[in-house]
Amino acid sequence: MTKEPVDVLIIGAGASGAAIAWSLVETRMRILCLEQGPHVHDQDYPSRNTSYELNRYSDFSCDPNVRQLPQDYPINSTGSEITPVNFNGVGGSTINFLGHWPRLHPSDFRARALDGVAEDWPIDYATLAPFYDMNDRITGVSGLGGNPAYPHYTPPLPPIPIGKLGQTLARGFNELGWHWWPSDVAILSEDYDGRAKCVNAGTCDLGCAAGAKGGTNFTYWPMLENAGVELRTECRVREILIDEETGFATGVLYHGPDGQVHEQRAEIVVVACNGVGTPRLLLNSKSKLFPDGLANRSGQVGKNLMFHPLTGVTATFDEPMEGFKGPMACSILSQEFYESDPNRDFVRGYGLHSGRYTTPMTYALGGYGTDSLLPWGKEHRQVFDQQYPYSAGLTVVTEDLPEETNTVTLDPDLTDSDGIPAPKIDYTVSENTWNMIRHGEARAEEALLAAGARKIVAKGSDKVWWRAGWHQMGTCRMGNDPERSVVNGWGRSHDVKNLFIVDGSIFVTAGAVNPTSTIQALALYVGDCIKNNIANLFD
Amino acid sequence: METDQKGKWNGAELKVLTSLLEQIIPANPDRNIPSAGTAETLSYLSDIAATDGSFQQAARRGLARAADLAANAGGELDQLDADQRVALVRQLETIEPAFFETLLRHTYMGYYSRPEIRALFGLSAKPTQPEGYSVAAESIEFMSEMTEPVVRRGRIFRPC
Repeated sequence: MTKEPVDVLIIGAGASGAAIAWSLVETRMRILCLEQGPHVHDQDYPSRNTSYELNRYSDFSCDPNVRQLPQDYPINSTGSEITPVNFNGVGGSTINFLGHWPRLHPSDFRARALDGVAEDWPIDYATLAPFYDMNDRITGVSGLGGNPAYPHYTPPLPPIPIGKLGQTLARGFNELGWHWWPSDVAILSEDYDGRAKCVNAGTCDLGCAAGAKGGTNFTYWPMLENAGVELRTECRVREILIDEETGFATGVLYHGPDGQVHEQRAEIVVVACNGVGTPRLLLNSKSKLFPDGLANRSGQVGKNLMFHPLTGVTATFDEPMEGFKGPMACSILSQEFYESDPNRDFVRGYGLHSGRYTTPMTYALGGYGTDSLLPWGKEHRQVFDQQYPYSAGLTVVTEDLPEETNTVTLDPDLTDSDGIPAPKIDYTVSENTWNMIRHGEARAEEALLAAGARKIVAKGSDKVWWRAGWHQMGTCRMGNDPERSVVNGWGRSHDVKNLFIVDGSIFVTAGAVNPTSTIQALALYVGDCIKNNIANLFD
Repeated sequence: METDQKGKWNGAELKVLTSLLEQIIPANPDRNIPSAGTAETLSYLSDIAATDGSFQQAARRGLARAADLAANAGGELDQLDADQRVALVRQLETIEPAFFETLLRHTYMGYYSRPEIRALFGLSAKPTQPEGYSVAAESIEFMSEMTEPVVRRGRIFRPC
């Protein structure tokens, strides 16, 4: 079945798909977005249920291999030290993300020039800055202006409360003379744009039923649908089609909710499936012209996979820290060790993130992102009576460097429910990262003790957090050299002139910050470039 | 020892399972915190067993093993003294590690999913939405004072 052609076809209704649709909507082009998941209505979010914690281990798990919903595709991560996590639905992973919203640093765009590692981005911080600002206004970002870790900017809303836990840790950083700052968050500290402010529910990963968290299902999509952007849900793209003569993308084949395969033709195809989904789709789109996968003449599609390997240090204090109150992963952030220092045994750096604490069940099961059960018996009783209420911790969020051996490929056997080959992840944490982690754990311990901790109760082991592959980057990176990159400096495929990629896969380096604000700023930037080049877009 | 039907424990199994759960998460009488050996957690485990045949099979085997260990120690599990019960559970953990880990996981999930248990640790027994929790926003003056040392140090990013 063939549908009427559209001007712009966007694949994926998550963070980046929504942002580029918003950028292009003023062109009055006919825009269609295909999303493999459904609308997930806020009244159905687990945070409205009494037994909400159970959903974290079933239908609202961040891990698609646990959820196993019809819209999810399985991921073979047996060859990886970290498993990718995500969500599929209108809003994508912004439905269950935690809303932490730091920007990349200017130096993140110049890792090769400054530190002799990785590659430089074809754009810089100053280029993206207005798009960060624009996205912050649309999303409703809360934070405190004047952070000395960045060129000056001011988020549109005041910071969310850092709470007792944040205040306690901030005093520790001050004691040591180290940088810290209230986290920028895509969570409303005040009512904004028809959305109510955060009620400090503490279960951001289970969907924010109040709409205070800036998932694109609450920010961009209501505007886009009102503006006439067509959104087709439960439509999973099987492959991107190519005209063998012109080398242009002509559209896609997708599996619709009726169980049938449909063809959708388009003038421009935009891929917005993030760092695992995008290379998977390109590698599944083979043709005579592209036998190794679409837009893959460089051989770089699926390579250079970057996460942010994490570990944590936990301490107990004399007073209850009330860690279950407030946005789950966002309180304060230290970037004291973010920039390279030649006196350390690693290049680049990391952040120390103070999340809050979590609910009892997740605490008993080892914490968010890990599978490490607490002991049973008398020790269990002690942990819950003497440790849990008094806990605070710091997460070491490290910068991953691009390595060609860290890859997304197609699994030869595993498929999704439509029979489309599933992704296979091969990923090893590098020695540079391990050195960073060890350094970070020691500094986190110092900060916690300086903050008045009476005891360090847990610190990292020889493994990074397993279920922590939220940030998937680098697998279709940007660059000026078609031999070393997949898309150019404004997201257009080097090989296919009407194919754009706008998600985390086009990152050149990962920085050591949560990527969603940068992903959306990039999507807005690419949209702007498309508009500015519309007359000769395909030259 | 066999379960009567899916997810239903027979009398002997129920007795052993209850004793095991009491050891896994013991009560704290000083704070009126119950052990995991209560009807609600047992009911949760029954529901899991009813839908997960492999857990039911493993549980049947593990509970029988626990009963045998107790018999060797001189009686039924709940009749042993406190140290003996702990030792027996440790033994079970060693000889049936896969079953024991699964039991532990399900016990934690069943026990802590109960609203009244959450409330014992200061959380609301209600769903987190729509009410959430009250957290006072820090004043501008307070935040300025707190961040002053950080600001005073000046820029820490590398310009480029």
